Amino acid sequence: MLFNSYEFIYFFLPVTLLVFFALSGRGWRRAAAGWLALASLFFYGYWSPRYVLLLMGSIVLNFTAGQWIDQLRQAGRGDRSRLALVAAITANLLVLAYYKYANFFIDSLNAVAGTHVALAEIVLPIGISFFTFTQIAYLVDTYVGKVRERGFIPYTLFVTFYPHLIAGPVLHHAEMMPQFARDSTYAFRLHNFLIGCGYFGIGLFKKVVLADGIQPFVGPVFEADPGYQLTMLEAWGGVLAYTLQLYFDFSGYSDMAIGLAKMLNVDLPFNFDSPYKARNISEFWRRWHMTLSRFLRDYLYIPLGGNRLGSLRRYANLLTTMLLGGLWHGAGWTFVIWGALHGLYLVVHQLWQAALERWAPARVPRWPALGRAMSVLLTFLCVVVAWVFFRATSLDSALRILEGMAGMNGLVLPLDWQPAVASLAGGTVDSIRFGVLEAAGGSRQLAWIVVLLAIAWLSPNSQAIMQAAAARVAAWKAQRWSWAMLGVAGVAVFMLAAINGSHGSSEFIYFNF
Amino acid sequence: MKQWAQRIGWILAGALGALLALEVLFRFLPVSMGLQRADDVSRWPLVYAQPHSPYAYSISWKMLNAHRGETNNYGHIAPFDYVAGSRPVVVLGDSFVESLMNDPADSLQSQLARRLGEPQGVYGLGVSGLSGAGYVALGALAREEFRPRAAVVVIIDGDLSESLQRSRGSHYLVPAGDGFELAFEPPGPEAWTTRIRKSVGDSALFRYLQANLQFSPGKIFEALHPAASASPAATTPESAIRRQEQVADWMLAELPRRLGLEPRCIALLLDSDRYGIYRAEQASTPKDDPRARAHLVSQARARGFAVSDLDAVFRAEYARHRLKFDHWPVDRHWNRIGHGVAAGEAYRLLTAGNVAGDAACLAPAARRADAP
Repeated sequence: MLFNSYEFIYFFLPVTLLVFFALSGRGWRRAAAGWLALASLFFYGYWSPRYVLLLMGSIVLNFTAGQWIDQLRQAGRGDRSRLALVAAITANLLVLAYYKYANFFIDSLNAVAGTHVALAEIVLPIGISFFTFTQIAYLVDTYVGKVRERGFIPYTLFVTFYPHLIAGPVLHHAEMMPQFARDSTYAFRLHNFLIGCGYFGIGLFKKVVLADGIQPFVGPVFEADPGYQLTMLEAWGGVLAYTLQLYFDFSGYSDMAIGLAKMLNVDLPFNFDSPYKARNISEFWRRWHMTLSRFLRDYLYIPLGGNRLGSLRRYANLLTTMLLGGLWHGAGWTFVIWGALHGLYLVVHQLWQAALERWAPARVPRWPALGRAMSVLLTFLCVVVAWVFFRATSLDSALRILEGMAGMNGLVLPLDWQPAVASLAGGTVDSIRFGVLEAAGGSRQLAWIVVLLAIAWLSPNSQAIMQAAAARVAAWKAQRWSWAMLGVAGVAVFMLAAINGSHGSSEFIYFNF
Repeated sequence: MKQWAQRIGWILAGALGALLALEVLFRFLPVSMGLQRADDVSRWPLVYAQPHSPYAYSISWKMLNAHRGETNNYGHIAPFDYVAGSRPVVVLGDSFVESLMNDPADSLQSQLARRLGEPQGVYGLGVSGLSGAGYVALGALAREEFRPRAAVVVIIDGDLSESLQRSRGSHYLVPAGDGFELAFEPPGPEAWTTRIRKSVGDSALFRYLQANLQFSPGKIFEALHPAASASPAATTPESAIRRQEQVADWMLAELPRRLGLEPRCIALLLDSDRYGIYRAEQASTPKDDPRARAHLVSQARARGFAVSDLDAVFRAEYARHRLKFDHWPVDRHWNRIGHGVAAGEAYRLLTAGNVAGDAACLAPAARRADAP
């Protein structure tokens, strides 16, 4: 079920909230938690009921393994506990490998060894990467004694909680369970509900208006015929469109998830913090898909040695972490290259930082604002180039797009720009080529890109907007304004849902991962 | 209880405030308004919409292809009034000829008029939703009113099969003996959505929801019962194909008689699946069977009509210039270029002799006006 679909907005969400608050209002906390878990399973099963069994199997396996690991740890049998952890993680990764990577391995084997092993017909269960990683984190935290879980229903709720089940944020057990355990979660709180509606509305707007609005300009470039030579403007237009679509799509989804949880008095961690404002690639990864970055840092980079084993090892760890991060996103060499590129960017940034510290430790830039702008632009361009591999359907396709971006097929402006360019140039435009651009949307596309870039670079992000709104709502002495704002939010969601319905509910990009 | 009533009151007040704010906003935006159908159906579809009434057109939530204007004295989209008995060239068709999504100057009829050197000599009679049966009915009314000297009929996919479908406010064909009889189903009472819209003062917000977003409360419930996944296109039964061929034969027999024109003075332009030309995988399943369409073309040529299958023309033009003929990918209706191609074909057909060796219907313009 999609957050932006009619069935979610008009049926699932109201029924789930009503029953939850009704049970909570009577003081039946366990029933309310059980209801949420049950509703979450229905939410998952609405897509494909048979994969509920897989999800439940995964939950039972990990809950049992967690109990086992904890008991062994408590009994002081560290080696056994470690063995149990390794076995449980291996089981998780095997399931993930089967559903997500089996065909990738077969395909690669066929390519390398010249074999003709038939590809398996496997449907990727939605959200499998997210619920697998969430539970691996739980197992590791249990092993190191950070968390203990005794109840199966709370654990099921932690894994299946519908705001995060399909596409994150990737959660830590320790940050969720206290929230499910406290009394204040099980009550209707107007302030939280209103703030939740605000986040949900902003997320829905990002998805329905911004991401889906710019989406039509992406396909013509990334799905262009192999024989079609993309010119510079077309290639950049399509790639920038995708850069913005992905950000508004995924951050929109994350905002909606945060809002849905907030309605239930649960705080989810933020997943985005204006990533395209980042001044270097390390900062980018502290602002983009923050919960995945956190997971990769805590459960991969640091266990690999992090930066504790010298510079060379640190760079190797960075590369390994980003390569695996790329592979987590999808089973394909384009994702591996995307991850490798980011690993390389991070290494280069580390080297640059080290060089600066060594050769110019106290250097003060002459024009700090210009320096910041250049840093943001350079980081953004690096990220944009990497997105080509992330979105391209094949390596060949990615290279063709990069050729276009590099200007190897020339720069051609849309035919309908000729009069405007001619008047700007005083009538002579012989040096500029004009033609039919099959993969570009002309002025409309340019306007979309400019507006969305301005939003991404200049406007406050969702949390800044909502934190200011929350402060204002809290300052209202009379509750009636909050109730009235609820009516406003209802109309906004209705309109956005109707807009979404007019072009058919489109999936979130991260559902594919 | 009182407290809850107050809370609900405040929620409703907030919602009402938001709706009013949106209404004000949409009043300034080119929300689609469409055409108000003429109240008197006695001469419909010749007198199509309310004469001299404003219209606004835009498509999708983004309000693309926005156009505003005013209908002429017959309720059609034209920059001039039509004159009874003026012996124009008439262009019959559906929304393609109506051309709400283009500037009137870019329409087939306007571009043809320029080619003929007669700025007000071509009357566009395009009525959204019309099928083959409707073109014939419209042709008869056009003959009585204007006494045309030539006609262009734009035939699109579905015109044959939809001629057999009975729907309110439309002409359709009823089987009679070996052939058909033309029938008219009067329009029913005003739709409840229209009544609501009128009752809320022709709300721009309501029009946006209804026309641009195609929203209806029923769609919310439909979401719970999604249509079964599309099955591969079923083959049209032989009997249905035969029926479509019979509709084609009926149209070819009736058009000259009802228009009062020789077949050589009636140019038939058959549209094609242009998205399939741009990219094979974008091709759509036709509503009219390709065999029935081919039958129409061959029979029309045999009877001396001036016929152009635009598929070949569009393909050749696309191969040459790579320019699209419609508002791809949001709207399949022709754009200025598509209308220009059709106008070029209509001009060629009407000013040249046909394949049967008949003389041209119209003399070529002495001084060609600006070609598009």
